[in-house]
Amino acid sequence: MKDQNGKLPSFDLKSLEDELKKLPPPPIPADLESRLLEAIPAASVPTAPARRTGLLYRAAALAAVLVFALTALHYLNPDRFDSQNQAVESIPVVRNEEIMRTIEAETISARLLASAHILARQAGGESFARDTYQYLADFYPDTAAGREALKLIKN
Amino acid sequence: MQRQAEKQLLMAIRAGERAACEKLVKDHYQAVYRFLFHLTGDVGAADDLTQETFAAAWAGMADFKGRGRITGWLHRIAYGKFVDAQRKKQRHGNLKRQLKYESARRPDETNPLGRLMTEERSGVIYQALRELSYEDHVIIVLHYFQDMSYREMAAVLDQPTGTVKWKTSRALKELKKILIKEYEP
Repeated sequence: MKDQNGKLPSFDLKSLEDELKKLPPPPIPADLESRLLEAIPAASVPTAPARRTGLLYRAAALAAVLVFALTALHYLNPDRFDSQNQAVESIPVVRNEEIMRTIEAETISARLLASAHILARQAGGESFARDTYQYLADFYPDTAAGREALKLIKN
Repeated sequence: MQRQAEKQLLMAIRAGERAACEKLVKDHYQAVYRFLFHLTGDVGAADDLTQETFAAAWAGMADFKGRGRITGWLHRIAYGKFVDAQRKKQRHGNLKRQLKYESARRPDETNPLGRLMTEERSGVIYQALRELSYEDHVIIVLHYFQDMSYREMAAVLDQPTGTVKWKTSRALKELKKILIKEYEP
């Protein structure tokens, strides 16, 4: 089969590629564009919220599910009123302020005790250390440092 | 820059802006139609499948992550529509063989486009394309007619880029073989 010029064509790959790229594209039906535009949904295109796949989002989602489940269990429990009353009676309520006060007392007394131990090893610092132990025993008797200071005074 | 513009277009579409939807149609319908025409070799089928492609695009807009280009996404939908259409036509036997059979048929010479395709040298190449295997035909259409990069083709065909590159080279060699055979005196 010969081409329109009566010659046998040479189809090397490069020229074939060029020829493919130059082939005339098929014509488009005249009314296709208008039909496609008419078919655009009248309402907003359905959308979904953007998926958040971050660790924070997953942790928050898990926490929300847990809170919901625990709340649901709590409200579905028929004995919740009785158990609630019992809980109030039997479990000592430790308020936040008390916890903070305890931590503060333990911290201060521990620092004072450490300071007293250092002074006790210094020349002339023994009497000052003894006063500090006494101070701890008097004012922080419920702390670990206060109890240790009391032992040291007694010994 | 183009990616940024496409992201803005997608945001506008998702916000329900009709003008943005129209822009998407105007920018892409010709490429989608041509792709489907080359695959089906039939004006009516390409027309119907183009409309189905855009209908599916509107329905699936929420699922499009915007990681790739819009054109690749639309071609992927179109390709799926084409495969579905072929499956509906022939429910029995090997799909690949059927598709090869479908694509090997001559273009309809009773319409002007069919005549154009059978004319002269371009007609010979179009005819040779239809004698390629289904897979080789799709690859040649995507790369040379739709002007897609290997990466874009890989996204449409859901295959690794390297594989697509190799298959493109193979498809071109197959086409050459068919053409040489066709031109033998």
